[in-house]
Amino acid sequence: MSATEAPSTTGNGHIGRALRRKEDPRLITGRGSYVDDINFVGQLWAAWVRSPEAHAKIVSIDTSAVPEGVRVFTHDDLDMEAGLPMAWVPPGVEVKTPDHWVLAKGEVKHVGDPVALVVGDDRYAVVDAAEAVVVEYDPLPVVTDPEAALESGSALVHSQFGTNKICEWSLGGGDLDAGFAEADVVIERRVVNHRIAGGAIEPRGVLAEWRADRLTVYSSTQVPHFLRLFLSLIVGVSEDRVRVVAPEVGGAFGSKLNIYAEEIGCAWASMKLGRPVKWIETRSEGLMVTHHGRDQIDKVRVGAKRDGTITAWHTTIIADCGAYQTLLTPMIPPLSAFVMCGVYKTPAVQTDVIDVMTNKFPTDAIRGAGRPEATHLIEVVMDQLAEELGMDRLELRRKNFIPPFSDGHETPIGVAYDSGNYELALDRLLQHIDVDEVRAQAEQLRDQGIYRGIGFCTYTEICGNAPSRIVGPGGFGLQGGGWESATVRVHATGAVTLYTGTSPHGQGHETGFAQIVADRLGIDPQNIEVIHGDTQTGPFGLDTYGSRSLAVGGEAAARAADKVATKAKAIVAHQLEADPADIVLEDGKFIVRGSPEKGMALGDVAGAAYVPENLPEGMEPGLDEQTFYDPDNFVFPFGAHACVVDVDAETGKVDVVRYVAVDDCGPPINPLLIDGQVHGGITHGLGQALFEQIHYDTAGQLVTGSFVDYALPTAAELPSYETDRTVTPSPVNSLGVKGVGEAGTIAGSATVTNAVIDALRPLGVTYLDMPLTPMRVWQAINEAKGATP
Amino acid sequence: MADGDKLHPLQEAFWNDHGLQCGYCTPGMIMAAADLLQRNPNPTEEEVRHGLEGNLCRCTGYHNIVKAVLDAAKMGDGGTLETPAPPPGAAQTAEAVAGEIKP
Repeated sequence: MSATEAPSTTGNGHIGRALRRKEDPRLITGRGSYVDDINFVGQLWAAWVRSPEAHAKIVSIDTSAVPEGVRVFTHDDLDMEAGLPMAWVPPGVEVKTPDHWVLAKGEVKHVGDPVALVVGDDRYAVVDAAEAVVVEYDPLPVVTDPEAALESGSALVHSQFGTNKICEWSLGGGDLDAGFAEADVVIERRVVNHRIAGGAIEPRGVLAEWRADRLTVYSSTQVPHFLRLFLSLIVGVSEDRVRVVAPEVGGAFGSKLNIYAEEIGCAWASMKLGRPVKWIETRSEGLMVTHHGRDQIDKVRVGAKRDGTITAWHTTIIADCGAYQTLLTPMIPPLSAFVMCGVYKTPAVQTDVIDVMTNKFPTDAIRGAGRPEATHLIEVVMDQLAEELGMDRLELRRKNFIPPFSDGHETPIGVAYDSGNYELALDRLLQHIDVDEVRAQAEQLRDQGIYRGIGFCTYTEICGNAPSRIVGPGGFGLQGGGWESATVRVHATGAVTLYTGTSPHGQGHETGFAQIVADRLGIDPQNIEVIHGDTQTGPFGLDTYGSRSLAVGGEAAARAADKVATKAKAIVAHQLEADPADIVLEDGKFIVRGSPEKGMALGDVAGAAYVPENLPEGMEPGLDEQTFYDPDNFVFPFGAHACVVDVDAETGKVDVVRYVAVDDCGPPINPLLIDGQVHGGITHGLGQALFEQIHYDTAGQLVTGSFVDYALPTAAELPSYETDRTVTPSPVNSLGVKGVGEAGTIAGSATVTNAVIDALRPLGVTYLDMPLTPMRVWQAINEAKGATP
Repeated sequence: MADGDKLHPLQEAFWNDHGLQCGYCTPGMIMAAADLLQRNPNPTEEEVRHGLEGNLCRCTGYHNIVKAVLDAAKMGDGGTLETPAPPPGAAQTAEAVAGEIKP
């Protein structure tokens, strides 16, 4: 269905309103229930004995000092059907995937690898007991550098493979050789996209209860439906007897899109011991054993004609996947390849991915998952190319923009963008920011030792994860689908419950989804309860990640509501003796077209449906409809961002002076929520560019294991953001919407990095890798001066 | 902080301004902001940002939190927030505790 064919809504106009959130009353009064707020009578606590070594043989495990009454389990005690899952099997590509057990078997592969599970009555006593477990290790050679890991003779993370290379995977299109042959200029850059954390403020946590042959697991997760499926398969309980609840989840950013050892371990221990088992992650554990993201070395080679026309773009990605593969680990770097054309007409594009194992914790999806890496390298290299050509950065972009399109643009790599108008977004951005004015300010500041720079990024990304035939086993190789479910249940009074298969963790689905259903049924969003994150309530769902909730789950909600409206119209037509085709929804009433005095509100229709004395012949009672929606395509939000920075040449400190973002995610459902997503997204990108880094030393020790060392941005380091929108509907869904949860992050790091490089060009600095910490910037300034720092 | 159904100006402002997403940092943010406004009823944006430096949020980028605190300052009767009367006996307890602490 194209946006122009979208079914008419009520005219109540809840869609598009900046409605304040339905979620908030409980959260601003301290009444939210996160996992740690939930306790069961008789619950036990779990703690983990974790490896201090990055790679070692386990020689012995001595539990003799553990106090009586505390249980210790090691690998040999586990009687599970399987280890932790990895769900990517690309057709025709061999992926070397090691076993990944809940507790290490024989060897540990990274710092924090769990060796024993300790369970007892007291939250603090189990931590002491874990320290009383004495494990003897025989250290093995460690490798932490992915390029070194690929060299022959490198230490091997999993020796049975004889290599650290997990797989090679490529995506390309167009004639690359011809493209480079006709290029006047070819530049090469090595772009390092370093490892970062999700940094959710609520740590992970699990509470598992095995009672009366049924397993209930509360987990701080993005993926309760996935977790139920894998729990069932791993601990061997039929899926109908497993219930997973994601209660209030305190942020996730991809880091809770996984099936973790602690979730499976607590469930298993509860079954073994017949009592509820709870575990709450410490902050140090959060940085050590909650998955990381990025960690790519991107070797980029670009060809262009003298006039700026790009002729070929070749990227080799060396992706540091860490010591095991969690749910989607090796699949994330290939996601970079899907947007490697960016917003440009590039006729020949090739991306070669090499996934590599090292003795670090696995990487997996972190906000943007593959697209921030691609956008960063594309947009930083565009600035580099402009400099090489002696061309204005924005002129180079305009020269190569794909012209506006509203119903599909096929890129040479076979990815079909849905709609885009990149020129429009850039024009809108430049209404907010005057480059000449920034340049004039820069001149004035120079005397004070302050170097002011401005950076840009024009981007598109791929989200709304779906369609099953493309992402699934026979396509990209994900062992699952991309659809989403929704049930709209109208109660006898006309109040409505929407069950969605998505699983929000701060985004505001309870409000946005209610606005969608409200307009389709002519009621107030306040009378719609949105239920999510409990596998025992609604239908099977595919959860929340990859900016998919609105474009897939929101559309499913709209379609389920449409089914209800269709049945309601039939009931109203029957009651009013009219033709169903003449029934329309106006001002909250189903009326006969042109006769607003004759009509029924949803509550009246529900009454008629549940007291069915006068329904059309053959119609079932009730007003309750379900949808499974599998889209025809992804959606492709886009935008243009700009950032102004001041760099202190003496200290290397970067101050973000302004950040302006123009994003296009189609018609807004709730502008308040969109701006909130953009603000948070930018901060994640900006945080990576300036502050954050997960750093291991060469021995595989995690150096940044606390929020003292891992620098999450604070309010004091950030400016207020300036946001604006253009509105280009997607033809993929009836709402015309595209995802926006990751867009800010995808555009953010390149925008800031380009601004800092721009600021430092007068000092002779021409390129910098993130994170742009004062030390790195100061060193770069001094190296450019020819001084020894 | 709320008086029955009547929300505290800070709670109201956090709600109006979308000053929270996942809600996990929110109680801490609101309490930190209340403390800040008691000490400085009419803060500048810069003062709010530095005043909240000790509390981390990963969702909002702080933009709407800062906005909410500035708006609450405007709402709260010229910046003065009503402080509820301490519970009976609190003053004596506080005195007793303070008496224990010798410089």
